[in-house]
Amino acid sequence: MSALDTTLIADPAQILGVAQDVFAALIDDGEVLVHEGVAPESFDVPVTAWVDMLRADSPHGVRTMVRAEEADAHLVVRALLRMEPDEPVGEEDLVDAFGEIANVVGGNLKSLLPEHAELTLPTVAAEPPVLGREMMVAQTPLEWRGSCFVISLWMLV
Amino acid sequence: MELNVLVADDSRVMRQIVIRTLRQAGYDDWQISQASDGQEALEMALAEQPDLILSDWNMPRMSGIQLLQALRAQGSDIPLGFVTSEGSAEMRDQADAEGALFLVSKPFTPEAFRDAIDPLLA
Repeated sequence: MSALDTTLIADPAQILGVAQDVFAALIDDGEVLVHEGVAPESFDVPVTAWVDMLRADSPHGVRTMVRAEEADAHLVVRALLRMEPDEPVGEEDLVDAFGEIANVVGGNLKSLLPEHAELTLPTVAAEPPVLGREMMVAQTPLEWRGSCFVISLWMLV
Repeated sequence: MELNVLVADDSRVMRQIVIRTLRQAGYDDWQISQASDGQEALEMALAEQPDLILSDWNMPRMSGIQLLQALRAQGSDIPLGFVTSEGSAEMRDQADAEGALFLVSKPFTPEAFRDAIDPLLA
């Protein structure tokens, strides 16, 4: 069975636009504060959230992954939950809120697919699982309030 | 108009954002209860008979569309609208076919909620 057609979503500009919409609506009261950034060579203490688009009749899928330094992910959580700047962020809130960012970005990208797929629930961990044969098809580094986030799309094969 | 509204989403953070956005949209006097998945929403809806259910689509245990189907199968006509990150045409068609009132896509704005909900209150 063929892989999902990612032509419309494996586009850094498309991913940037979705991320801008998500952050503007859910965090920044309509203001667009997400811009194209520069991907770091590596993350010291990463947090990774991902959702997969899967098709029942195919082993191929597409993963949307959002990755950031943990301290920057905490900024997103505080902003989403309207917390104080120095308020501690618990693990449960981190997993929930950062996972929702991946979920909404992934769900919006999935809506652009020309064929039906199911979206998995979000997963959050330091590192994504190593599958061995996944292939990155797009990567968009983002800058938001001085923090860096990297959204990437992966073909699961 | 004061309504009893049930918000179903497996993300506590998203439920909080939905409720905050409803307040921003002007629905300050709504009494809002929360469910963390479709199964819990079904049990709460049948017990509490809310005026409106706002439900996520993709949830563990029971999805939003399964919640809607289960309600109708049990003879409940509680109005239900979806608030979901997946607003594909296929899902909108399925939501319509099952009798959902509307589908608001995440990320949403107060205006999106008003556009979907105000006509129902008129």
